[in-house]
Amino acid sequence: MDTLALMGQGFFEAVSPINLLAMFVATAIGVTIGCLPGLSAAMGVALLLPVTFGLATSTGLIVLGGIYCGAIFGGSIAAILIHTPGTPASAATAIEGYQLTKQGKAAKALSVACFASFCGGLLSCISLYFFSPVLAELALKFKSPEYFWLSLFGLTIIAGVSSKSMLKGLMSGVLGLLISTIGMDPMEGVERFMFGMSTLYNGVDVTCALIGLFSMSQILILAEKRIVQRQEAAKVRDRFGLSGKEIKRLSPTIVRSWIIGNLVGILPGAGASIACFMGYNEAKRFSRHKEEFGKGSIEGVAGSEAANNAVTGGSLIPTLTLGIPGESVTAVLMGGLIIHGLQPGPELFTTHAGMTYTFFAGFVLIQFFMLAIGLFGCKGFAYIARISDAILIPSIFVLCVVGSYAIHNNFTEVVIMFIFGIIGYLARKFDLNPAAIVLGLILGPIGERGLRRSLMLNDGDPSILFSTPLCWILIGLCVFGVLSPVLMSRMQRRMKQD
Amino acid sequence: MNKSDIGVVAVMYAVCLTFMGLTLQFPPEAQTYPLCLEFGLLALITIFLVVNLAKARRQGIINDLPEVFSGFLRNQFFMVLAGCVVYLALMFAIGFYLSSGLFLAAIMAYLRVRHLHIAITVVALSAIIWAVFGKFLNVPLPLGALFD
Repeated sequence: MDTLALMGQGFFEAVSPINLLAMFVATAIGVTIGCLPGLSAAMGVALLLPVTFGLATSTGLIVLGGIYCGAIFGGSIAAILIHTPGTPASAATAIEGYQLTKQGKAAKALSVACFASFCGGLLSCISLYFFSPVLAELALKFKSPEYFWLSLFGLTIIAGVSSKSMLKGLMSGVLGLLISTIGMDPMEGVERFMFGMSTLYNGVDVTCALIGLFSMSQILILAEKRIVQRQEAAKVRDRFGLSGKEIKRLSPTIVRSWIIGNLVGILPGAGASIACFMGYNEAKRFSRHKEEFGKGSIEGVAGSEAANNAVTGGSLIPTLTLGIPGESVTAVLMGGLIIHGLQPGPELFTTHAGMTYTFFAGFVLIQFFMLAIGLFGCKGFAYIARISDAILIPSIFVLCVVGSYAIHNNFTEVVIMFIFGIIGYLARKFDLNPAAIVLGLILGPIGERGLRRSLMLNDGDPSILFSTPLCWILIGLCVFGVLSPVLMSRMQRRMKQD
Repeated sequence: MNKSDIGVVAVMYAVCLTFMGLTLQFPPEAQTYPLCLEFGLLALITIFLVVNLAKARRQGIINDLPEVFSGFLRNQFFMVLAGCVVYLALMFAIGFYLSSGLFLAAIMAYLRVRHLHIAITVVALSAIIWAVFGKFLNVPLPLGALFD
């Protein structure tokens, strides 16, 4: 079937009542999680992953996509109304958004955030549609040695970029790889580190690890600090909506931020928190109303919000085509794909093309739901943003327990989740990288298969790992992955100085 | 070198060496891949240690623990953690719903949430879990040894 027909079929499947309901509910949950300061998109996706087990694969993925997009947008509500970014991706939005709120223009700021997020997300779908099949075609050329290097590249890039110390990031990644060896040896049939527990036969369950590392660890982070009452949300007194003149004024900023956000999203290791500052800075640089910046500029809000939402579509490209998630949320999403029995890579665009294009179409429609929920539900979400951590801490733990229990209706999974929660907490306290641990867990089996098959094919001679130009390109990318933290820290420093 | 990094190095060495000891008990053909990872991890920890020792010679050992644990409320943290452990143990005996209700109420009361908010949270969360996991996903949540 050609791409256009697949796109059409995808939309047809996506508009089924169950999918539309899933989009609405998931986006609303995502916005709720996003607007709660302290909770992250990765945590939300990990926590709700078990709920998708009962759904069709495409619907399950749409739910995860809805939570992702909703959470990235939701962060702006708290940023604008209570001057506390709900997620790090909205940090730049708080600068101008709260100034507008102080001037009694909260609805205007929220309208700009909604519109820019919608445009950024929608435009990012264009690149998702057009770049993904191209990259997937490239991935078709990959054989066992290339898969080994690819898994190593994925690990170096996330370990290097998203940690304060590159060495600690790499250590976390290798620790994840080591944990992934728990279970039955895939080639020799030997029990590895199972301690006689048959539940570990297939290895550590990725969902348990995700819930523990991202959700339970967050509870412990919240529990160690004094519970403070959040600032009261500002009253929304002005009217929602944007005039034609304002939309015309914001359009160039949104297009610029879309390009920035998309590129940042595609580039593994960067993420929405970097994109929002880049979008904001470029909006300031090109603005004809520079004097408004710092005092409440709608262009500043649009620049930040369009960029962070443009990351969502962009970051899915390397995740779906190559199996390299660029940040923690996409690492969790990739875990979701694997749990649903799908291996990221070219197969998603051949064998499972129907499902993939339904997910893409769902991703487009999610942006419309996000716009509607954002415009009509902002006031309600402002109240939710004030929910105390004292209520969130036990509630999230109960959801962690029920979520991990639901995987196999087994208490052992709850204990594994708890152990990973403690590991995640300690990792975060001591600057190790939970995302790299998860990625090690996910990429471990792929890398092990690639390495051992390659060696088996070449009678144990490792020269096969350096035998094709693609191998060398991937080795080069691994080196780039190790060196990229230096480039990223320079970029971030420059952003902060600006 | 930061004081917290000494702990990180010690724990990572311990984990790595434990895995290595267990790997050496496997048949030789199954040892290769895990040993590669363990040697890789050992190398990374050692490089990290060497880099930090070089730093320590220049700047001395910096006590960053007050910074790492700034604002850390020991009693609150361990009470919540202990609550979580007791909750998991209780689930065996009295089942999911009852233990969850007790856990939610106890932790929120300890964290000084208003009674009305506690009641609303317990009822709302139980209803959501019952609808999503009990009815929609058909997950047989534990009833507990006392009621099973």
